[in-house]
Amino acid sequence: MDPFQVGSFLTAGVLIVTGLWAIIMMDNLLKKVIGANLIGDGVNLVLIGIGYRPGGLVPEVTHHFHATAVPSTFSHFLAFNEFAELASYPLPFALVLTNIVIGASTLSVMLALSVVLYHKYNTLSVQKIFESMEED
Amino acid sequence: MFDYILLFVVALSALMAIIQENLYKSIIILGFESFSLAAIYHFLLATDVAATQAILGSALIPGLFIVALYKTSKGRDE
Amino acid sequence: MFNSTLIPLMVVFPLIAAILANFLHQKDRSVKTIAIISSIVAIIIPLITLYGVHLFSGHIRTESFPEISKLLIPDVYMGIVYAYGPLQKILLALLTLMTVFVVFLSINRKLISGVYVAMIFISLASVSAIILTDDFFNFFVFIEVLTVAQAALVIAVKETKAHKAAFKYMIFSSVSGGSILLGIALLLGVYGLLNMTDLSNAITAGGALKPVALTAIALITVGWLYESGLFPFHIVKSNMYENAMPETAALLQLQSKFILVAMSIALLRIFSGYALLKSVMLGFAIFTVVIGSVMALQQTDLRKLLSFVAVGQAGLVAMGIGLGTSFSISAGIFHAINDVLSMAILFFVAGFILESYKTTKLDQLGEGLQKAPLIGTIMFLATLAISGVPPFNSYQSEFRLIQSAVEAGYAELSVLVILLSVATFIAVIKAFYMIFMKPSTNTEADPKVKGTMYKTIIVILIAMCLFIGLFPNMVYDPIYNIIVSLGV
Repeated sequence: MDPFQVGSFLTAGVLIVTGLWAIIMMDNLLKKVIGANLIGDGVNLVLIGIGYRPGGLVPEVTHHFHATAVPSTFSHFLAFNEFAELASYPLPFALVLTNIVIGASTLSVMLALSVVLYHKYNTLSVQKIFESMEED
Repeated sequence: MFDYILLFVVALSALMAIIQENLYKSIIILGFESFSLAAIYHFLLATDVAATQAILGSALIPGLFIVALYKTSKGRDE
Repeated sequence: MFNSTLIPLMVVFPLIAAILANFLHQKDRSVKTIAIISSIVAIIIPLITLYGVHLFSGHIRTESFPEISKLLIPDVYMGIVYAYGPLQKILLALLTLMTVFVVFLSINRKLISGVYVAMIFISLASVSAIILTDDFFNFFVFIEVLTVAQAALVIAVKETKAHKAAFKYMIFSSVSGGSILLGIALLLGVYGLLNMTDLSNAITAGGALKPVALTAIALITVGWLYESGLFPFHIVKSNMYENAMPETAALLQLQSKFILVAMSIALLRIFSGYALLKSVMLGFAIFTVVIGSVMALQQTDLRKLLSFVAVGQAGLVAMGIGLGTSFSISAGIFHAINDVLSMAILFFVAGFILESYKTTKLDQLGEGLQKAPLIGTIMFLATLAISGVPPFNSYQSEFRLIQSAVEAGYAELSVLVILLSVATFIAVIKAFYMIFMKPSTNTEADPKVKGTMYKTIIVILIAMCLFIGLFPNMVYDPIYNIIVSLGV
């Protein structure tokens, strides 16, 4: 395992633990929402770190690779097998793109809910809002 | 070498964004952390994901947070 | 050829209906028309589709070149796969039927608005996709979509309690969604596969599980606990049921139970050789059964009581699945199907009570039998149905659960099943007495509320309960055959 991959997994772990800590321990509603965002960031970093091939190519084909292209410095990569063997694994990128958008939409709903709760209780503190939980 | 520094910056700024008391500063640090995360994605050979994360994490999500903060501060009703 | 368009249509059609209803948000008559037509079409599609497998974009099952790709199996699916079999047909038919009922009742209540109908259809599309899909990441995406849709259905009530419940629900869902995705990422890193069939073949062929795959099982099990509303997360789900409109709460509890069934079958298929998973599921299910029954007995508000009964019954379904033998898993799934019918009747009765008395606190209600005798009778029959009294359907499923627990060697669990059904009966009959038979001074029913739509629907549902109770093998035998053929 490449040391950069190990480093990125460790950073992702730090992000996830920080996000969990923010959700559990922080008093402000918006800090909890920031924590939820950090958990999503950590999981995305894990996903992208899985597909990394050290010293590899970015797995995107530009027009240099087209069979009828003008000869260039990349012409020796015209064989697709060679390109596929050297590129990094592109499947997790699709998962991460979807997850980023999902995270942004759930975050916007949570922020709207915080604004509505602020208008009712005039505070963003979780203790004051949720202390009256058991009254009907 | 630069990529390891970026990893350290991401972890540190995530921690600082949570500890920071003033919420506006916390959101700016969050935007900076998302942007550094996009740079790390570029070093991990995921350039399209880096572009998406840079746009969303530095512009859209801090924008939403700042609007929410504006509406939840004292003396500003709607 | 035609059939392969119908299978993804079960997901795509409600999404299109949701977009249309959302687009026509302020125009109430068009929204009503779209809602009624789409829900009726949504029932027809699962009934006319033949069984089969749908491969998206035509990506067939091909060779995987194990020497180069280092995958453990020789053939893989190259794309997203949807599989439609008898179990999916039963679950989808019930789901769409209940959606029709909820749409009609919401129209009746004048709760109709474009966004509300859109959220109901988005949740229908998500649960259909979760039941049909064979691809793990597709499953995760629709779980996240369902979270937003269900939170929106609760927020639409516009009370502060509902906002608080929805906020807690979304915070917990970001934790559990991150947990499921982390498990999927670890499985992708170890085995290189996302398809559930291929993963189960690879894990069987791969020998002992690596520690990374064990972490993945733990993370995905945490996500399963949250989605089903079992032990550590039962408060979140029961808050959601109690704060939503009661008709919508019937739909929410049905969706949670069906996701429980679909996700447990997926987990047991993938990690089939691993016995600790079933013991963990069983442990959490037992906690949920105990907590659900204890908390249901203490409540003084009808919707809170019903939500805790729903949580306890979900624990019973998970207990059947956690016992692990084919008999007990099929008994658990059969109990899920029976239980959603009787809980739906009780929630619809709660909706009628809310609409005519404007409150559901038990000590403020009373003398209901003089004003609504038919609804009172059917609530009494539904109490018998949900507690497992003989001619109704829960008797058949709880009997099979007890038999399978004894055959698996855990005779004490049969005592737990009986205790839960006794506790459910006491809790709900107390509610029935306090609403319909207790003499009281401060109840004024709204005389304009006739409740004909409620009466029609709950008569249909109680007839279905009676029918399944008298002929259980029509529903039970296909389920048992599928579970035996899956070999979990």
